Amino acid sequence: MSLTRPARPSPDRPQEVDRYLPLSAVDCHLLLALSRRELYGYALLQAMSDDSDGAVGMDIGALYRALDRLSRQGLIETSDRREAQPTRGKPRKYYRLNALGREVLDAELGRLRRVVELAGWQGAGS
Amino acid sequence: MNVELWLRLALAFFPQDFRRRRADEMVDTVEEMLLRSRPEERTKLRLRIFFQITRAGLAERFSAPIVSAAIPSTTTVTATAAASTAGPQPSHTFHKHSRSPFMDDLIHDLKSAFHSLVRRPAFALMVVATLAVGLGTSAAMFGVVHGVLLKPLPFDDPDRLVMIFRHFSNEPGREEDNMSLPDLHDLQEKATTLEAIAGFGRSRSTLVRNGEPSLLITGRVTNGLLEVFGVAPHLGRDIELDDAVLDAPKVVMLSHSFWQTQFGGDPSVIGDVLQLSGDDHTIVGVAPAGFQYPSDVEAWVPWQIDIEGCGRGCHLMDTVARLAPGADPGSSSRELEVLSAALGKQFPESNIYKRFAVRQLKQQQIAPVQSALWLLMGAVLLVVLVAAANVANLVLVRGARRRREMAIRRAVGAGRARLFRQLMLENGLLALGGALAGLLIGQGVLSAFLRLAPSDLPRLDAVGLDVNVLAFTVVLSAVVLLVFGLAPALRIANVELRGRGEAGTLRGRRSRRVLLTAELALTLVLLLGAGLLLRSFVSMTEVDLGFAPERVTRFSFLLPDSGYSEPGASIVFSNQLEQRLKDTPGVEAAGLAFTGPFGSSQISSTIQPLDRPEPAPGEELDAVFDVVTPGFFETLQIPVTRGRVFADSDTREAPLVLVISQALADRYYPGRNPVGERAKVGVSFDFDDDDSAYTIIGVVPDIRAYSVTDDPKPAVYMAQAQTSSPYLSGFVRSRGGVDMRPAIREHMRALDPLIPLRSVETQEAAIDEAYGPQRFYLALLGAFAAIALILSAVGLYGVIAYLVSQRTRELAVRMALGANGPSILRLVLADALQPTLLGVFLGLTGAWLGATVLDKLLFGITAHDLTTYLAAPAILIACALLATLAPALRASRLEPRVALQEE
Repeated sequence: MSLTRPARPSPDRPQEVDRYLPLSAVDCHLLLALSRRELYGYALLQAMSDDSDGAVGMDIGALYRALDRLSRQGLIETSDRREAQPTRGKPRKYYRLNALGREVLDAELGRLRRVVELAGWQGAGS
Repeated sequence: MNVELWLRLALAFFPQDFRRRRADEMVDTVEEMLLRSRPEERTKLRLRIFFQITRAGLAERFSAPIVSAAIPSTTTVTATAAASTAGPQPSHTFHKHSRSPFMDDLIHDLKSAFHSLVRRPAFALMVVATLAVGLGTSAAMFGVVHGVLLKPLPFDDPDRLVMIFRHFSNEPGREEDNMSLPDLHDLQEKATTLEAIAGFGRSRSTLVRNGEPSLLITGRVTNGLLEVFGVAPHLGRDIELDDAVLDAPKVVMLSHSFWQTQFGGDPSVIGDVLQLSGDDHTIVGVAPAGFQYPSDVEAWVPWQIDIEGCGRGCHLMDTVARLAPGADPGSSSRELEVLSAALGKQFPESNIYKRFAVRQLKQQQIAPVQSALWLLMGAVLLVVLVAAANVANLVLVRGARRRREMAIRRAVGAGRARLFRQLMLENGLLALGGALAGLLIGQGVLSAFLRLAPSDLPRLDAVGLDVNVLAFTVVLSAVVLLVFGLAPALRIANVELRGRGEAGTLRGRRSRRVLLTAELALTLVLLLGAGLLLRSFVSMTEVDLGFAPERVTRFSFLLPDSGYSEPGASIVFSNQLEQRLKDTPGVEAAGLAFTGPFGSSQISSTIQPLDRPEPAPGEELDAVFDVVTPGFFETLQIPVTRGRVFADSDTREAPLVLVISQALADRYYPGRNPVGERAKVGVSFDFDDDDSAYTIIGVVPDIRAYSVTDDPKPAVYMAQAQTSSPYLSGFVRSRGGVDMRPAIREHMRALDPLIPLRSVETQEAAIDEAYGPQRFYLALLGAFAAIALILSAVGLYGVIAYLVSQRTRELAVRMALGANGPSILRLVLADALQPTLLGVFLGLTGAWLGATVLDKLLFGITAHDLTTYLAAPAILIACALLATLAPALRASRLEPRVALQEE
C-alpha cells in the first residue's frame, strides 16, 4: 500500500513518536483504518475486522477504550463531519488521524516491516 | 434517552468520567450493531456485547492512568504478562510514584491476574457464583450461630448471671426449672455465693386506658430483679419485698419503651395510677432503657403469693440470680446443695429430695437449640466443602487449558514462584469476589431464615450480619482459597513445555476424580441428613393426636379480677358464652377449657387415689390438669371410653367430679373400672377444703395435648362449673368451612366489651406451631442438601464434559475401529459411575457412623432408617447419571472422521 511513507521517524520529533511504539494490535488496526478515511464507531469496527481478516474482532469495549486513549494521547481527533445515525437520527461522531497519529502509524509500520524483513533474512518461520 | 437496562448495567462498569466522554457514542454504536444484525442473532449479540463492555469497563477501572506513553490494551495483555514475568519491565516507569520492585511486581501481577480473569468471564462468574452460594449460606448460618449461641447476653458481666433449678436426689436426671417462694426467700437470705436472686413469671394483664381494653405482657416478680441485672431504675424504684406481701397496695414498674409510648416520657408519671386487670396500680418506677426481662415485658408487678395456701410445694416462679464476685456456677451449686439438704431435713414433707443448683443463664436459654444449630452449622460447612471441591475442579480444568500459556511463560524465563504467585492472586481475587457476593446472598438467606424461624428460637434479636460474620466469611474464604487453589496452582506452575502438561495427564485426571468423589460423598451425607429429617417430619404429621382439630377455631381470654373475683361470676360467664356459641348458626359444637390442646400453658399437680396408701413425700404421681366445660370433649371429638363426661348438672353444689385419661387409669386402676373411685388432687380452690375428694366419673383416651413428639402424660380433667378458672380458651367446631372469628368477637363484645381477646386461630394453626422447629430444621437441611446436589451435578457435568473433550481422539479411534454409539455411551457413563459409586460408598459409611448426632432431632424413625439409606443414594446416582448423559450422548454421536480431523 502506498499510504505510508518510508519508516523513518520524523527528524524533528523522533523521541515523541518512539514513545508510542510498539502499538498494540487494536491500536495499530484502528489507526490504519482511520488513515484511509474518516470513520464513526460502527464503521470503524467493520473496517478493523475486515482489514485484519477477523483477527481483530468486533469488540466494542476494546474499541472505545482505544478510541478514548488515542484521543487523549493526541493521535486521533474528531472531524467536523456530521451524518445522521440511523436509529435516532442523531449526528454521528467521525474520527480521523491527525499528523502525530500518522507519524506514529508510519513509524509502527516501518518497525513491523523491519521485523518481517529480519525474519525473512534469517529464514525464520519456514 | 431510552437505553436498554442491560446496556446501562454494562456501562456502569466504566469509571464515571469515561462514561461521560463515551457512553452516548457507545450506545449509538451498540444500537447500530443490533440494527444491522439478523434478528435471530440479536440475543446472542447482546450477550456478547454485554461481556465485551463489562470486561472493558473493569479493565478501564483497574488500569493505570495514562500519563503519556502507550499502555498495553486488553488484547495484548497475555503477551506482555508472559514477557513481564521474565523480569521487571521498563513500561512500569509510567506509574506516578516510584515503588519497590516487589510492589511493582505485585501490582503488575495483580493486574494481570485480574485481566486474565475478565478475559474468561464465564469461568470467573462460575467460580464466583459457586463460592458465593457456599460462602453466603455459611455466612447466614454463622450469623445465626453467633447471634444465638456465641454472643454474650446484653447485660453487665453476663457470665455472672445464672438461674436456679431443682434436681432430685431420688431421681437422677430429673430437673425442674421453677421454684417456690419460701425456698427462694431462704436462698436469698442464706446463699453467700449469690449476690442477688429474683423470681419471676410472665403473664398477661388487661390494661384499660381511655375506656379501651388491651392486653399487656407483664412480669410478675419478687424483689431484686434490677439488682440481679446490675441496673438501676430510670425513675423511681424497683419492686420491693414489702410490695409482694399479700394485700399490700398494688404497684407497677413500667418498661422504658412503654413509658415512652404511653406516657410520652413524662417524668411526673411516678405516683400516677394504671388500671391493670381491673385493679388500680400505682406507678412506682420506670426501668432503664433497653431493659426487658423476661423478653417483651412492658411492666412489672409484684408477685403477691399467699404463702399459707401455696407453700414450699408450690413451684410457680422461674429464677435469675447474680453470682457473687469470685464465685462460679460450680462453687455456687455446691453451696446450694448443702443449703437444700438442710432444708430437706427441716421441711421433709416438701423438700426431702429437692436439691438446688445453678446454671448459667445463657446456657439455659440456648440449651434447647444448641445441638440443632451446631449440626446445621456443620451441614453448611459441608456445603462449603462441596463448593470448594467444585471450584478446585474448575480451576484444574482451566489450568489444563492454560498449560500452553504457562509453558510459554516458563520458557521465556518466568520462575515457578512468580507463576505460582500469579495463580494464587487469581484465586485470591476469585475468593474475594465469592466472599463479597456471598455476603449479599447471606443477607438474603438470613432474612429468609428469620422469617422461617420458629417463635421459640431464643435470642433471634441478636442475629444479624455483623463484623464477626464478616470476619468469619473472610477467614472461611481464605481457607477455601487454600483448599481449592493451592494444589492446582502448584501443579500448574510446575508445568513444562515438553509433553502434554501435567494437568491433562493421568495424575491430573486422578485428582479431579478424587475431588469429585469427595464432593459426591459429602453431598450424600447432606442428602441422608435431609432425608432422615423429612421422614421424621412425615411421621410427626402422621401421629394420631387423639382428638380432631379440623374445623375447630380456638381463642383465649382472661377474666379480670374486677367483676369476676367471685367464682360464681366466671362460671356464669363461661356458661353464657358456651351457650351463645352453641346457638350460633353454622356451629356444630362448642366448649371451653383452661388451656386445651396446644394452648400456651399447662398445670401439673399430684393425684392420689383414696384406696391406695399415701406415697412417700416426693413420690406422688404427677399429672397434667385441665379445667373444661361439658361441651369440650364433644367439640374436639374426644370419645368417652368408660362412664360419662361432665354434664350441666355437675355444679358447685353437686359432688366434685373428675374425668381421667387412659394412661392414668392404666397406672392406678390396672385391669379394673376406675369409674366411681375417689381421689384427692394437689390443686386446691377457694371453696373446697383440703380434704375434698373427687369422684371419677369417666375415662377418655390419651391425647397429645402439649407436644406432638412426647408421649401423652397422665391427664386429669376438672369441671369449670366446679373450679371457675379465670384463664379460659374457647373451642368452636363449625359445619363446613364457616369462618367463626366474627361470631366469636361479636359474642365476647356482647358479654363484656372490656375483655380483650388474646388470640383467635384455628386449632390446626396452633398445632402447626408445634411442628415449627422440626419444619425449620428440615427446611434448612433440605436447602443445604439441594444446593450441594446441584453443585455436585454441575461439577460432575463439567468434569465429564471436559474428560470427553480430552478423549475425543481416543473415542474417535475406537469408533473408527468399530465401536458403536451405545458402547461409547456405556464407556463414558462408566467413567462417571466410578467416582459416583465410590462417593456413595464413602458417604454411606460416613453417614452411618455419624448418624447418631441426628438422634435428638428425629421422631418415629432411627438415625439408621433403611428407607432413607436406600432412597438418598438412588437420588444421587440418578442425578449423577443425568448430569453425565449430555456429554456421554455427545461422545456417542461423534463422527470419527471429523473428530480426528479436528484433533
